[in-house]
Amino acid sequence: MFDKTIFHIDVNSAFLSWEAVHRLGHRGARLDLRTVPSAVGGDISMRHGIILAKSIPAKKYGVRTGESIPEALQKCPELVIVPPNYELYDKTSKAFIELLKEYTPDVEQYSVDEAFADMTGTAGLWGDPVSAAERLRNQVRQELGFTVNIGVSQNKLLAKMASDFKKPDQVHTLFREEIYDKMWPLPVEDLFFVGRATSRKLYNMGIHTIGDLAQTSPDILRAHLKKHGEVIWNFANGRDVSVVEKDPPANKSYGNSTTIAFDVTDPGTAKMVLLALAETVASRMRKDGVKAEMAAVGIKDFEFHYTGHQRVLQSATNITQEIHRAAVQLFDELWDGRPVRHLGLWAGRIREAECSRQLILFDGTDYEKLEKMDMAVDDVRRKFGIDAIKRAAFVHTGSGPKSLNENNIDHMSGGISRERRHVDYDKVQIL
Amino acid sequence: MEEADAGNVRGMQIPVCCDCWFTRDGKGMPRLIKFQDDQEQIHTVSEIQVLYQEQKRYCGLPSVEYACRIVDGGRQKDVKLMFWPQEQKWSMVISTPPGTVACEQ
Repeated sequence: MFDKTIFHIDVNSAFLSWEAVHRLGHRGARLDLRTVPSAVGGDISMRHGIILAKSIPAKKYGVRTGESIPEALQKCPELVIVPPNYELYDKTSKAFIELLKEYTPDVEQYSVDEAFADMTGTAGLWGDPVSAAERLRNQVRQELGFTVNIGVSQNKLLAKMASDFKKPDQVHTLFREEIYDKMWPLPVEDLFFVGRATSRKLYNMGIHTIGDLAQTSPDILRAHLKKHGEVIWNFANGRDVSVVEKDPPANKSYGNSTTIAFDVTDPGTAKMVLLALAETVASRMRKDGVKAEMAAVGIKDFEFHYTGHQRVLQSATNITQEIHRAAVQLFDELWDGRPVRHLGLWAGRIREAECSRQLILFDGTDYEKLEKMDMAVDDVRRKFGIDAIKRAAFVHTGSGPKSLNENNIDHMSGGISRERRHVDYDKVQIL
Repeated sequence: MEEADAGNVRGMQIPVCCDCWFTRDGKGMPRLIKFQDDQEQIHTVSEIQVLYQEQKRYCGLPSVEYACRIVDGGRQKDVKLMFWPQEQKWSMVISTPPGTVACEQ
């Protein structure tokens, strides 16, 4: 069996870097955002006001990803905040992955800004692993304009740990024979899969470093942490058998959720939001050619308490109206009247779309007609944009009889909100 | 100037099916081969380590030769995978003792 060569490639400060490169290359910017304290932040007025990415100079002020914008500005008053632009991130991420695929066909996209590449057998093409990684790092910087860290090892775990060493724009190795010197001295919470709760338990057991964990008996770890203990013990000893999967696995569920711009206190408005979520969830299922047998609704109230409820449907479906009907029933059963801040809708137990429907004797609904209508609506939106056609309930007249949608709920809600999908650069100051 | 020609292929040559990935500038990396043995058993080999590759001519026919180490049935072997671009054909050469066969095209 030949030793594998795995790369983990991680873009440095992805959102911020991509925005910086875009502004320098296409918007006439003179300032590189990466060289000043800057951050990508959401819209406070829409209740999305947190830091999504920060520059290295901003990090020195203690600005952290996930904290609120006011908190970040307190730490660094001259922080330059730029809005998120997920359309840009999507395009740049695709270009990044395409470049990696020039080096090997086995590329697994791990997230929008990270990927694994199985470089086994490519020595004849690109030379030894470190030379190949340096070549790749340089090519990314030259062709795409941003920097990456590359971790090199014999498995995915060690490659991912390696890429997290000193940043930015570096290649690091962490081969199995190097874990004693490079990995074992690190704090145990730095190990992949060790979160806050696990590291607290390990500290209570006197395990402070990855080396301590590696040298602890796996029986003891299993007794305290069950299967998870065994997994992290293997990781601490540099063992990982997972392979680079270039084809992503099929979705096991489809869901969307949204933080509403105001606290919802009437069920009618909540059900409009659920309809908007059902539109996006159902259209994604139809696009992938699948149906769901289970629907679930989640409610987060104004005090951030979360409750959820789910139900198996009578038949697998991807019809918007049917999913919405189930969601409304679940909402009515679940809601206790407290103001709602955040709503979510999920569809699970996924089946192929060709699966047949169980007919019910007393149900006169023409499901075939509803399916055809949904497909026609999908076609129109694909050709002319998602706003080309919308349900009448979402049409806000602004005058005359009271509109159902006087709160202006987006008719296709969930996921990345519109204001974060793209940026109108004519309205933004470019430095 | 006459082009270098290696003459006959030395060794036993057998036809193989090869899954080969090519970079954008045409360099190849064989990833999987299948071939049939004397007992008509199909072998599938996915563990292939390319040691070096070179372009050569045999009896006037151009080829790309990959010297490989493969693992077949749990045993490691050194073989040569040969790609004949004019015929879009792959073959595998296993070294044999003296008394080589002429190349078959």
